[in-house]
Amino acid sequence: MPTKAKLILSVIILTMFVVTGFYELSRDLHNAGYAAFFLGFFMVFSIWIFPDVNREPLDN
Amino acid sequence: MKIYTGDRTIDGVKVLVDGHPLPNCSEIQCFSTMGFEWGYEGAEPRQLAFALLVDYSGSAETARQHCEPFMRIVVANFDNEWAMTSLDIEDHLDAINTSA
Amino acid sequence: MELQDSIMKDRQRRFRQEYRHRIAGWYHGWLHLMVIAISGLTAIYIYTSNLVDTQWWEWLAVPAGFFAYQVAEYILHAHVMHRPRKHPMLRALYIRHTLMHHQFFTTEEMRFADHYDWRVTFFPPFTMIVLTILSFVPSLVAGLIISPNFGWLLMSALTGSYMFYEFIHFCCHVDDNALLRNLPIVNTARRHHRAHHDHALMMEVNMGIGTPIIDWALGTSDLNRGLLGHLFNGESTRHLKTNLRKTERTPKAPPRASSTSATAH
Repeated sequence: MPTKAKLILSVIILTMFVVTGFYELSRDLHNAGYAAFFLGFFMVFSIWIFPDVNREPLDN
Repeated sequence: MKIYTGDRTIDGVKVLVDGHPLPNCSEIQCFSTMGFEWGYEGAEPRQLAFALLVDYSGSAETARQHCEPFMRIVVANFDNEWAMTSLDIEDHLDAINTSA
Repeated sequence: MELQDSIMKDRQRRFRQEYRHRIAGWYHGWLHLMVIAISGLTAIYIYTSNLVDTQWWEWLAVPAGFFAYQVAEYILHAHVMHRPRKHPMLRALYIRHTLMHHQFFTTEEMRFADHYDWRVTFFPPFTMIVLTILSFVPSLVAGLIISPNFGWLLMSALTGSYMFYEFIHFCCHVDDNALLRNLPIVNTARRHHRAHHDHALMMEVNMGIGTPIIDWALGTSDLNRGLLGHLFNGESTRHLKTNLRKTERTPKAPPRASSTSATAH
């Protein structure tokens, strides 16, 4: 996956789950809040370490 | 006699004529800019049919006339990996003209 | 490592060898599976933690989400994964699916050899991320318009449906055994998906994986049966349509009708 795509997805999903985490904490759902923080970073970590398949793209 | 081959490889779809990439002829007639495909009726098989017929006949007009039936009868029924000679194309065009 | 008791053709064998050689860096199938499971279960835990005094009708979000996922899965499979598109990310899905997954697995050999082949069996981790992002707005809207519980349950259902898909798809590519042959829904999916891996049919037929519901509804199934027949068909091939596409390496023109032409050839 191109680095630019990974960066965009990373920013979006991290933002989503960090906001979710603070939202949960504000509602005294501490477990869900910390789980959301964890999940955001976990998902970002997983897409960056996942190995690609090497290709030599053809013209046509 | 020319030999046309097509294959789905890990690096992309590969369509060759006598070992060289088949031009997609989208500048002459554009059904699709997404590349060649086959095994169904649609824009990409139509582009492949057109390109095959242009290369075989040397005539864009001949290709335009026969492109649609050739796509439906031949290209849509190509297997995952296919091969065709110019004699095979001639036979198909004769059959299309006979049934028209 | 490769399967020893396989009838796969040389072309498929060579492709599988080449694919394994091309995987960049390390890969471990069990870690891949854990990433999907941890992501999915943690997400569902977060969403369901927000449920408060759930009413019975709010649980309708679960079948609604499941059905919506089936529709999305069908559309993505039929119109993106089996059709080359211009957008690089959509094209990447087509490359990964038609040019890799469908060359690695065919009707002659549907099984992976070991967990290293799960690279081409399970979706990559970005799938859960994209699913979560795409689920967010509809679930938020549902939560605002219908009820917060409905929105949270819809989000849970969409995530759970993706995990259900991965489970069913895995079962389609795992080695045969008595349990899989007799488990309803799973045995149906295995036959349905094996037929889809026929190169003659893969571009048009049996696009649903989790269920054959959308194929039945849109007539893109290889079976000539009703809805219940589709869902509980199992491994039967008694109801196959008779007009399915047959492809050839070199489609031949019909023989010419006139005797003059025949003798000329």
